[in-house]
Amino acid sequence: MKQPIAKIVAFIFVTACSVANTNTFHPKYVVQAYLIADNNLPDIRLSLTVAPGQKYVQREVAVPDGIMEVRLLNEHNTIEETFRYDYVDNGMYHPETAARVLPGRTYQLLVTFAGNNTRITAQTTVPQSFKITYVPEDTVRYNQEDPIRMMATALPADLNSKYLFNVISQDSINLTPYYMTQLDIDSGKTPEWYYNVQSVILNDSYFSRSGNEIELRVPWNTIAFYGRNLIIPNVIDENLYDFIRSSNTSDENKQLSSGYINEIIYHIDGGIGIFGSMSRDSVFVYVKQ
Amino acid sequence: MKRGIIVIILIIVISGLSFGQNTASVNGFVKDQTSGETLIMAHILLKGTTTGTATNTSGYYTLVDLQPGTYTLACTYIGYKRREITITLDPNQHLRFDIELVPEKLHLGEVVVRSKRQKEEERDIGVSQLETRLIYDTPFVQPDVLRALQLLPGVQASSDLSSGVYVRGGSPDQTLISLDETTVYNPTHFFGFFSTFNPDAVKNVRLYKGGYPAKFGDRIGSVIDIHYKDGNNKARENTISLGLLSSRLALEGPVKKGSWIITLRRSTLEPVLRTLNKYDPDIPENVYFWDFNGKVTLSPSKRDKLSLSFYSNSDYVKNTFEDSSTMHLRHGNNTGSMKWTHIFSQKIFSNFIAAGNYYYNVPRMLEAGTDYKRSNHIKEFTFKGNIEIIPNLHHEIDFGGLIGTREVALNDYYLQKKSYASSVSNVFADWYLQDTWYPSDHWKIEMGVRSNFYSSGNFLRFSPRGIIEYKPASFLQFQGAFGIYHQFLSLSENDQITGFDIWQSTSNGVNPMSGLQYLFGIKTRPFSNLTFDIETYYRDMRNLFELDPLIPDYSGLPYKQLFLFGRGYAYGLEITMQKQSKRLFTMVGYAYSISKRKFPGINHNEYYPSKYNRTNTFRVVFDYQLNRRWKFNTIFNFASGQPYTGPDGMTQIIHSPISSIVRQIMVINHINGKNMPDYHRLDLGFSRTGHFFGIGRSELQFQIINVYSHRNTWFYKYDFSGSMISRENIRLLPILPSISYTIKW
Repeated sequence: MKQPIAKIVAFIFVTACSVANTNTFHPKYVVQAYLIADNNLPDIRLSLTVAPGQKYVQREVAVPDGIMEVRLLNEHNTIEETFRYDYVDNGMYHPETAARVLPGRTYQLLVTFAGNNTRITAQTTVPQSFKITYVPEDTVRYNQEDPIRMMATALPADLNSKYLFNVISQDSINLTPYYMTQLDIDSGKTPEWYYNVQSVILNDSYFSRSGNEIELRVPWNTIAFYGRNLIIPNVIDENLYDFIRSSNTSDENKQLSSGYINEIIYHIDGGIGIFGSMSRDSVFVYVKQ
Repeated sequence: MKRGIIVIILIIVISGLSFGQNTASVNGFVKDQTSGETLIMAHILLKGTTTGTATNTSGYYTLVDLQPGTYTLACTYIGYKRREITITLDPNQHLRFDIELVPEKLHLGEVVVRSKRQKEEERDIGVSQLETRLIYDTPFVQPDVLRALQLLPGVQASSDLSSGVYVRGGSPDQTLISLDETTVYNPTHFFGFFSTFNPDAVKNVRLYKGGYPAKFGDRIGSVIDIHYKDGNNKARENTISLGLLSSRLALEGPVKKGSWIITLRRSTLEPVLRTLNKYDPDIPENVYFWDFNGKVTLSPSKRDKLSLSFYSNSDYVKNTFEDSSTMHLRHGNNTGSMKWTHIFSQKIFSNFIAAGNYYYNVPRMLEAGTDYKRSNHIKEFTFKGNIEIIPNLHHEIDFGGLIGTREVALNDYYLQKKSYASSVSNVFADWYLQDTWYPSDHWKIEMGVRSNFYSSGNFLRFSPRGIIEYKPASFLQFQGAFGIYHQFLSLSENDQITGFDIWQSTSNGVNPMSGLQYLFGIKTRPFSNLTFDIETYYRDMRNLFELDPLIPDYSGLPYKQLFLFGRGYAYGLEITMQKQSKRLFTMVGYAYSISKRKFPGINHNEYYPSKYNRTNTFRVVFDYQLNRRWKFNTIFNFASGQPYTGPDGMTQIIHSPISSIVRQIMVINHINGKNMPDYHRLDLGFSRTGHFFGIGRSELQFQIINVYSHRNTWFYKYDFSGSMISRENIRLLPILPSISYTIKW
C-alpha cells in the first residue's frame, strides 16, 4: 500500500532509490517439517540462515551432522514411540521407518549434535482428521455471487480450528481475469505460485455449522485458472498458524517495506523454522467462464 | 470523599467572599476590535501593581478583591497593540468591562508588559502556546496546524509526508485532540499528509506536552486544545485561497447580537490523479477530501453567550489496481455541539456543552469477486459543564464534569458474510476539581483530581495531578509536576495510512491504559525578550492495548483475544530558547528522548524502541519582518534516524505442502533494532502582503523546501524475488519550490 502512496507523492516530489546492504550476522539453525494427519512421517529439512545480502545456496546451508528424532508423546507428555531420522542430502533427513501420523496426537522433534550441547526442540499437536462430505455444485461459474461451497465433517467447535485452502489447477491453460491482469507479459512466464494458490486463514467460527457438518466457503481469489481445480481445505495446527500469519511475505508479494516487517513466530527452541502439522482433504471442482 | 470536596469548595468560596467585602472587581471579555473575536490568553494588568490575569478559553477575564480606587488597566496580546484604559472602582462595585484590541501590522515582536503571574502562566510546565500566525508563516506546501506543532521540541513527525504528531514518546492515540471541547478522532486527511483543521478557522492552539491539568482526561500522554473562531461580528469578511492540492474558502459576518462563520476546504488534486492513473494504475483514480466548519455565536445578554457549531471532515480513496481488484477507503468525523457560556457573577464563570460525535472508517477491498469490508465507528453523545470560581486573588478553582454515552464498533465482512462484530457501548462519567493557589508572589501550587467511570467493565479510576512552581527571582522559575492519567480508547494505526486505523475501547478483560508522569523544568528570562527553558520528563505507560496485527481472521474470537497488552516508558530532556523583538522571532529547540515498549512474545519479551522515537532533535525557526510588506523565515530541522525493523538474516522455505514455491523468509533478531540515517532539512520562505486591485488584502508566499536537496530516507523496501534479499532506500522529497496566493476581502 505504501507503493501507491509513494507514487501519488511523486507528482509533488521526486523520489529516487539506491541500494544498500546491512551486515552483522549470526547464523541460526532452520527446521522445516510438515506433518500431515494419516500420511507417513515427512522428511525434515535442517539448514542454516544466511546474511541478508548473501546468496542462498541450498547445498551450502545444509546441515548434515544433526542427530534427529521425532517422538510420539502420550497424554502425559512422555515418550510413547521414537522415530529416528537419517541424513539424505541437501539438508534433508528421512525417517528410518515409515510410520503414519496420528491425528490428534502430539509429536516432538529433537535434534542434537555430536560434540556440543546444541539442542533443537519443537512440538506439534496434529489436528483431527475431517472429510468433505458433499459439494453442492462440482461445476461452478467463475465469480458468481456466492463463493464455492462444500460440506465437511465438523471438528469440535472448542478447538477453534484454523482453515486454509489450497487450490491446485489441473488444466492450467486459461487464467482468470484477476490473475491475467497481474501477469508480467514481458516475462512470458506464468508465476509458479499460480498453480497452487493459498488462501487467507479463516477461523472455524467464520463458517456455518449444521449438526456435525460445517459449510466451507472458498474465496474466488484463490482460483487462478478456469477448468478443473483440486481444492484442498487444510486444518492447520498452532505452529503453522503462527508461522504463516507472521511470515513477512505472501506468495504474491515479493517486496516488503520496513514498516511492515515483524518477527516470525516459530515455536522452535534452539533454532527457527517450522515444525507444524495439518489435516486435509480434497475435492475436484470445475470452474467454467 | 464527595462531601469533603464540597466542604472544601464552600470554605474557599465563603472565605473568599467574606474577605472580599467592600472590595471591587472588574471583569469582561477581551476582543479583536476589527472582528469582535474573543482573544484567548490575552493579558490584563493593573499597571503599577503585580495584580493581573489572563483570559480563559472563552476570552473572559476577571480581577477580584481590588481596593476601591483609580487604576490603569493594561491589556496586551501578541499581534495586537497594547491598550491602556483608566478605570475607577467604587466600594462593592463589580465593573463589567470588555476590552477591544487593535491588530498590529507587525504581528510579531510585541514586547508585552505582564504581571508576574501572567508570565508564569504563559510558561506553565509542559505547555506550548502556538501562535496562529506561525501556522501561516511556516507552511509546508500548505499552512497546517499540526505541522506547525511539529516545530516544537518534544513533538515529532513520522515523516515529511505526515502531519501526525508524536508527543514525548507517545503514540498518536495518547494525544487528545480537542476542537472546541469536542474530541476529534480523525485529525488527518490524505494518508496523513494534511491535518483536518482548516487554518482559516483556527483561533488558538495550545499543546500540553505532559502534566496536563485535571480538566482534561481520557489520554495518558498529551492534549492539543484547538479553538475555532466565532466569526467576525463587525463586518463581512471573505477569504479564498487556491492551491494545487486543495483550496479553501472562509466566510464570516455579523448577525444580530452575534456572528457566524463558515469555512470549507476541499481537495483539488483529482484531475491530476486521474491523468496520472492513466499511465500508472497504482495511483488512485479517485481521491478527495473535504472539511467543513460552521458556527453561529449569539450574545443575548452581557452574561450569556450561546454557540452552535458543526464540524465535519471526510476522505475517500478509490483505486483499481487490476481489472478485477478495487480498493475503497472512506473515513471521516462529524461533530456538532451547543455551548452556553454564563457568567453567574464576577467571580463565577461557567460553560455547558452538549455535543455529538460520529467517527467512521470503512475500508473495502474487492479482489476477484472476493469482497472484504471493515467498518469501525465511534458514536458519542456528551453533556458537560465546568465552572470557574475566583474567590480571591489567591485561588482559582475550576471544577466540572461530564456524562455521556459512547459506542465503539468493529464489523468485518468477508465473502458477503459478516465474519466479526464487536460493539462496546458505554455510559461514562467524569468529574474533576482543581485549585490553583498563589500563596505568595514566589509560589504557585496547582492541585487537582479527576475521576473517570466507564460502565463497560465497571472501571472507576482516580487521577491526582499537581504542579508546583517556585520563582526565587524575576528571571528564574522552577517547576515540577506529576500526574496519573487513564485512557479508555486505543488506536491501532496503520503505519502511514489513516484509512485503516481502528479505534477500540476498553471492556471486560481489556483494562484502561494508565500513565504516570513526572516533569521538572527550569524557566529563565535572562533578558526581557529572551527566554531559555529546560524541561525534563519521565513517563510510565501501563496496560497498553492494541489490536494484534497478525490475527488474520477475528471471527469467533473473544474480544480480549484481539489485543496485545504491553507497557512502555519514555524520558527526555528539552531545551528551548526563544527571542522576540520588534521584527524578529527566533526559536531554537533541542530534545533528547528515549521511548520504549514491551509486549509479551515480541522482541524476546524485552523492551524495544518505539518506532517513532528519535533520540536527538534540533530545530531552528527564524522569522524576520523585513519591512511593512516583506517577511522572511527559515527553518532548520535535524533528527536522529528513526528506528526500524530490518532483516538480520534470511532462509528459504521449500517443500511446503501448502505452497509450491520457494519462499524467502527474513530473520529478525530485534524489533526496531536498526536506525535509518539521520534526518536534516532546511526550508526558506518569503512573503509579501499587498492589495488585490483595491478589493481586499492579499498575501503572496514563496517557499523553498529542502534548500540543499538532502534526500532523507522515508523507508526501506526489501526485494525477495531473487535468492538474496536486496534493499532499496525510498527517499523523501528533494528541493521543492512552493507558491501560494491568498486574498481576503
